[in-house]
Amino acid sequence: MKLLLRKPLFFFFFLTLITFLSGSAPAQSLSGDQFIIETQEIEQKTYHPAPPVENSKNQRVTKTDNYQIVLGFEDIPSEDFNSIESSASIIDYGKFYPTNPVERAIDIKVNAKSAHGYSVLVSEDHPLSDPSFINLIPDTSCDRGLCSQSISAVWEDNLTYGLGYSCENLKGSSCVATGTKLFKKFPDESKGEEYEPVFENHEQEGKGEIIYKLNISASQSNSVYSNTTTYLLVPDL
Amino acid sequence: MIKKTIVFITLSLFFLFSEVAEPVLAQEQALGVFPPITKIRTKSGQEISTPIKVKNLTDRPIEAQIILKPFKADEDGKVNLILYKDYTAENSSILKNVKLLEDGQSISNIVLSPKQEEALSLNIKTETNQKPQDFYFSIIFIVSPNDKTENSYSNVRIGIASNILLAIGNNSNLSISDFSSPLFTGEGNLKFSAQIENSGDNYATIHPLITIKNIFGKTIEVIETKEENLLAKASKTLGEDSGVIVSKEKYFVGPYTATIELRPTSPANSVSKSLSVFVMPGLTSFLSFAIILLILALFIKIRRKTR
Repeated sequence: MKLLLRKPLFFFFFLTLITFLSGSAPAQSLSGDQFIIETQEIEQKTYHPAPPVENSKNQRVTKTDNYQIVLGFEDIPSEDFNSIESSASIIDYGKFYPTNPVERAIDIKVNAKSAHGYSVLVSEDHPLSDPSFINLIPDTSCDRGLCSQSISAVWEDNLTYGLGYSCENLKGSSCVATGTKLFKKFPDESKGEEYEPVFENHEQEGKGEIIYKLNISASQSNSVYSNTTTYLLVPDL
Repeated sequence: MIKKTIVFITLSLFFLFSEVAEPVLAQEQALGVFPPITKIRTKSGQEISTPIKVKNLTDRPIEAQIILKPFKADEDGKVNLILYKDYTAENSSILKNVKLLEDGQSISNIVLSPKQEEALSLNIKTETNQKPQDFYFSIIFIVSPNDKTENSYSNVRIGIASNILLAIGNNSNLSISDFSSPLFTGEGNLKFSAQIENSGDNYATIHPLITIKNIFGKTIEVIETKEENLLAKASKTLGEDSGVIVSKEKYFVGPYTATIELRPTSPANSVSKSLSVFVMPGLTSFLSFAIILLILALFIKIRRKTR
C-alpha cells in the first residue's frame, strides 16, 4: 500500500490494470428536469449450450437391449440428401491431332448439408485405351515430369503428351491444390492407385469445373480411345 | 440426265447404309443419399436392419451400382477407402455379412425412375463369437452411364458414399493428448489447437466444448465445436481451419482460463483439460499505452522539479 501511495506512476498502472481485468463498466446515472438516464453494469454474455441430443427423443436414434443405431450427425437436424451432380456423363474429345491439345470441361456440384464436410475422390479405370487395349494414351506427367496423382504442376508445352485434369473453383473453395494451367494425373485403378481428392471442403456446398486436357504425339496410333473417370462424394466422419 | 440420276441414287444409298454415328448422350447426372453416416453399437450374434435412402435427382431413369468398401480415417476425419488389394481378413469377414435389401431381396444395383426416392434396408449380421471390435465401411452408389461416341471419350461416373461405423462392444477410452494456445496473442480472438485420442476398442461420438473464464471465474464464452466421431485406436485433430479453433468473442488484456470438455454421447469416459492464456492488446494499443505512461511520468517529474 505504501508503495502505491509513494509511487503515483505505479498506482496509475495498477488502476488501469484492474479496470481492464474487471471487464465491466461501473454503473452511472445522469438526470435533468425531464429525464433520468441510468446505466447499469453490463453483464458479460454467458452462453449455455444445449446438451448433446437426448437419444430417447431423437427419431433418428433406435435403441433396443441388443443394439443402438444413430442415423446421421446428432448436431445436424437436416435430413437433406447429400448429393453430387455432374453436368455431363461423357467427355467427347472430338477429332484431335498430334501436338494440338484439346481441353474439355464438366462441372461437378456437391451438396452436403447433412454432413460436416466432405471429399470428392477421383479415379480412372485405366488410361485412355483403344478397344483392344494394345494402344494406350498414357496419363500426363506435365511439363517437367513434376505432376502426379496428388501433386499438380504446370502443363503448357504442346510437346508434353497424355491425359490430365485440373480443377477450378466455381463456388466455395473446394478444389484441392490446383490453379490455372496446373494439372494432375488421374489415379489409375488398374494399377491399384488410391483415389485422390479433387474437392475437399468443410462448407456445405461446392462447385468446380474439371478440365480434361489431352495431347498426343505424332507416333500415337490413330484409333478411338476411351476410359471411365469416377467422382465419389464421401462425407467426413 | 441418266448420269445425274445414277449419281443421285448412289449418293442416297451411300448415306442410307453408311454407319450412323451414335448420338452423344452428354446428359447431366445427379444422385442423393441419406444418411451420410450410420453409427451402430451392438453385440456379437445380432442381426440389425437400418434404412438408407437413395434418390434420383434427374428427369431420366438411372441405374446405380452398389459397392461396399472398408475405410480408414486420417486425423482430419477424412475417409480413405481401402482398395481391394489391401483388404484384410477382417474386412472380408464383415463385408460378407452385409446386405442391402430392396423389398426383402438382396441387391447389387438399383434402377431409379425420374426423381424417384427409394428406401433400402441395410442388413448386418454379427458373428456369434465376435470379439469386441469395430468395422468401418462405406456403401457406395455409383451411376454408370456407359455412353459412347464415335470419337475418343472419357465416361464420367458419379457416386456417393454412406459411411457405416459398426461397433461390437462398448469400450471407448478417451484422452486429450494436446490442448494448447499461444501464451500471448496480439489480437482479440483466442486460438486453440486440440488433439484427442481413443485408445479403446470401439469408436466414440463426442461433442467438444471449450469454456473460457476470466480471472474472476466468470464465463466469457463457450465454444461448441462440431460432433466428432473418433474411431477406435485413433487420434483426431479438432478444428475446421487447419486444426485451429478460434473464439468468436474478442478479448481484452488479462489472464483467462480455457477448459476443453469432450462430452461423449456414447458410453465413454468424459475428459477435460484446462490451460491459462494471457491476452495482450495489439502492438498499436501497447505502444499507445506505453506513450501515455511516458507522458504521465514526464509530467510528474516536471511537476516535482517545479515544486
